[in-house]
Amino acid sequence: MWKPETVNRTLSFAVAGLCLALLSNAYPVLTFNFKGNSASNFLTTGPLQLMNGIYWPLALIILWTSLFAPAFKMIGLTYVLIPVKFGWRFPGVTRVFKYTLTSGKWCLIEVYAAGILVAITKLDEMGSTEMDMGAYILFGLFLCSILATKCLDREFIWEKLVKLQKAKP
Amino acid sequence: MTTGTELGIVKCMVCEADNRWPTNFRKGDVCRCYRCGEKIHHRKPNSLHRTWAFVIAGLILYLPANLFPVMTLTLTGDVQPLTVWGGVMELYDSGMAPVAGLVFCASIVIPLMKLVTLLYLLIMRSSTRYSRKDRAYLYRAVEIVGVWSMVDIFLLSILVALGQLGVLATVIPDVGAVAFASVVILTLFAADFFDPRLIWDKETA
Repeated sequence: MWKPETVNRTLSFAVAGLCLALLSNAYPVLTFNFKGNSASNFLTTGPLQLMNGIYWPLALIILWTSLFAPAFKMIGLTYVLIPVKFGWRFPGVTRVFKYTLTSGKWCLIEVYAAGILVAITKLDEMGSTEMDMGAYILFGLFLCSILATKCLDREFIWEKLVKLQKAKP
Repeated sequence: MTTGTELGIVKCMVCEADNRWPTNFRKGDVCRCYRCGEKIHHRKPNSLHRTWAFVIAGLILYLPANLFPVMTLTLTGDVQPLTVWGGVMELYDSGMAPVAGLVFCASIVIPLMKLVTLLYLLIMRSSTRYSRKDRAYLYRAVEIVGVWSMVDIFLLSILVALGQLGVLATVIPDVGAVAFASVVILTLFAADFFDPRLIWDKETA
């Protein structure tokens, strides 16, 4: 009836994803070599450049969908699943779970991963492009994100949350 | 077939809990989900108006998104404005057919398909001429696949970053990018505003 081991599995992917999300801007994503010069970019380099011009709304969309939404999703899942696993009572858990579910659809890390692959093929004709640590972190985050969604049994968690709320300490 | 409306049950669109609809419900009352506390509606308010507005806006912006350049690449002196289609052709010419296909599907086919599908759903609404179940599936598919159009925006952000680092000459975003991003966001909202439960409503003449 329920997805197997939903709390344990989702929690492990959420915690792993959370670690990766926090690290996602700590390493460069791509390193590009062109006629002896090399340069690498971080996840936020592009959006921060766009921020300066008239195209700042684009920067906000990119930052939200590739940096903040994935982090919020992982933080939210961790915050909700820890009390469910140990039977604790955290404040505002239902609200957090609600916002996690509604903002979760803005987590477009898998699309960003595809964007990296397209960028590599596009740049390859001009010079050599190498994936850096940041790209691997993003691919890991992408895996954690889809696996967490796959393992999460919303109905089960909601029922648990209702029971936790009713149980008086 | 028994419907939820006949049984007096309304599903919460956030947590999918079945709520008993209050029998003394009057216009202006606010009904909240017993489980997640979100406002629940028998049907999303102004669903059709909002979806129509966003789909029409999306269709209008689809033209500049594809006609105007998304970015201007200045590589070793020559300035080349790149449209979405130009980017696809460039990938195809450099022998990257699979990647070109991916970008073509994500940037050109999916937004148009999404807009056309939503139009179809809006026009057919509760008709029984074709399978309602198929249309419900169609709606789910449109919801999921739509986000892939963002590939082009992410690609732009990566190229802009490398461009500003001084290696790849310069990459400057162009008007097309804003139109393109608007189409993606508008269609996301349009799909969100559409209430799939309308498909199952009794046909109104």
